[in-house]
Amino acid sequence: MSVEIKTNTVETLRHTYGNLQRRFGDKPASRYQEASYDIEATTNFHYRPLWDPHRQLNDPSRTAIRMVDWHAVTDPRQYFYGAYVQTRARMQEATEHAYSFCEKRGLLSRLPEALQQKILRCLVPLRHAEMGANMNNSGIAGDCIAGTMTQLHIYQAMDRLGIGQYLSRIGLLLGEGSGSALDQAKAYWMDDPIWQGLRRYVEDSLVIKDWFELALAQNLLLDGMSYPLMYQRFDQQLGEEGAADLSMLTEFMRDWYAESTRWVDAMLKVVLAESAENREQIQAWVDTWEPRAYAALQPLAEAATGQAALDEVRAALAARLHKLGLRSPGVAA
Amino acid sequence: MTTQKKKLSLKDKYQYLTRDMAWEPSYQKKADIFPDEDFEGIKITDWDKWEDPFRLTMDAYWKYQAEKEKKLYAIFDAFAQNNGHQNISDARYVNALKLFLTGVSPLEYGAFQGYSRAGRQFSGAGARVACQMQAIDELRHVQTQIHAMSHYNKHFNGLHDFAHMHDRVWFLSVPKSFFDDARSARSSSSPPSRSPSSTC
Amino acid sequence: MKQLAFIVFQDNDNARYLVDAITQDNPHAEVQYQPAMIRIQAEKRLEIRRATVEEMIGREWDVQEMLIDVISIGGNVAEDDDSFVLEWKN
Repeated sequence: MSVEIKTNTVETLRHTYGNLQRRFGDKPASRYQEASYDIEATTNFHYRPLWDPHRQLNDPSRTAIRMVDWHAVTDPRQYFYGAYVQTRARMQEATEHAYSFCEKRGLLSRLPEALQQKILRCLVPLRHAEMGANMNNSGIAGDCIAGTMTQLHIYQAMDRLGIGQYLSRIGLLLGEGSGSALDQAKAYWMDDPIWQGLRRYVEDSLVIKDWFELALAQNLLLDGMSYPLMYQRFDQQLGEEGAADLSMLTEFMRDWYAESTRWVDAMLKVVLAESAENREQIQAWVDTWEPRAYAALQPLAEAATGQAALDEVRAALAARLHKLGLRSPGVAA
Repeated sequence: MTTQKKKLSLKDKYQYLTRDMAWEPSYQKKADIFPDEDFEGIKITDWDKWEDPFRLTMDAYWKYQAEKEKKLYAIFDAFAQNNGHQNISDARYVNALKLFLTGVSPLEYGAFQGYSRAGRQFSGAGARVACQMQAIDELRHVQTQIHAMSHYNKHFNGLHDFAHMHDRVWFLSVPKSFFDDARSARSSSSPPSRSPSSTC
Repeated sequence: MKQLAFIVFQDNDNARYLVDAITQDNPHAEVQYQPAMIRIQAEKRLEIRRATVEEMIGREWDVQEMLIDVISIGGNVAEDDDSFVLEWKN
């Protein structure tokens, strides 16, 4: 005997919001799409910003790069807020286990003194570079146009703060719970010759006015060499010297970097494809900032991995640039 | 590094994990890095005197916010699957939603933009970090609101072009004006925040 | 003049333990049940103690976990490893 249970289906008036219907047709949109497209005010601003009185509050001319629609740049990871925090929380859970384990077993404090010193001198001061990256990306989020673009950069900013905090925890482990190692690391950042190239680069980046130029200088050119250098090559090297236990504390940085290159490259692809003017301008900025980033990392590489490793990561960045249709000023095609 | 050292208090630990990551620049002038600090005549003599009472590091932020989002989106899904819009206590609630999505949600996005800017411009790192966390929370607000009302938009009129309306409809110029005004201020007067509901 | 410190939680299964702990530790507090929300208010000061919540909830509990269910708060915040305090100081 069959029993019929009544169901209730309701027809919808529309499948999604109007802007998404106009862009993609009247079909259900993804959460990423609903949360990212056309949510930013574009017109009829009531006041000019006191901090930039010749422009509007949201103004595409804060960069020399021109796009008909900045929403053409989308996040291949499709991060809206919920997806972003949930992904990071999964990474955080694994990372927290690693840090707890390391602390419980004293894995860092039982390393030979010389190795601990090397980690403190060559790695921990990067926490200050991360503060710079955090500031730069927060600034870009405030200046750039379109919900797809702004959210990419605020997530990037918060990621950099998180990484800076993990590096700080490495310093706290080295200091066995006191701040003394972090104080020492800060002194290295301020005064040690191996760090002055990078500190100067970071401070120079903090006065760049064009937010796309800044995005290149920070997220593509500096990170594009410093992360492979310090989290892959230096990590390998430390492993060979007996500090393999450190790797569990920097796994987050490696996973994060791989993810980050996806969206940075995707953004560049779209922006470069838009116009010859964009391509020219971006190439000009690459020509300026790539050699400066390389020079900034040289003294650090000297102390940490040796010059050869830096040249190899420079070559890898060059290959990445070539794939995007750009030239590397430092490495012949 | 084997000598006995004093363990840090929670307060001091948090300071190392935020404000201590900043430094006094020497290759560029501080005034060039923070050009808006002196604009409005509000003088901050020591930024270190302000401490964020919520000592949330990013790892804790991600963890707790993810848990909230999981639960929240499960509610959105259940509401949609059960056609919850047919079961509200008063039909006028939907009109309130229309006013909210067109009038308030775009302001959440504006607050996100304003706090991102303040999160760069304040020379005190503690204030910067707090503003950035506020910024990303405001982004959360606009996005969860869009997602919450997505189901209503499919069944009722008046929700379908909220951002477009916000920029153009006469009675929405009132809320629009408020945040345009706040954002137009130079950074030392940061955009006003509403009562601390940013955790919701 | 009344100076109410307050905290508002979602009315869900997790928050019941927080409400129990708070009412135990703050006998002067008043609890109001509103649609989907629980509001607790008290003259001048409200404190959430980790130890009490752990008793109620039956497991280890981090003070920052209260953020998951909180909707709104009123008062100056003082938070450490063992407690979360809302207080009007003046």
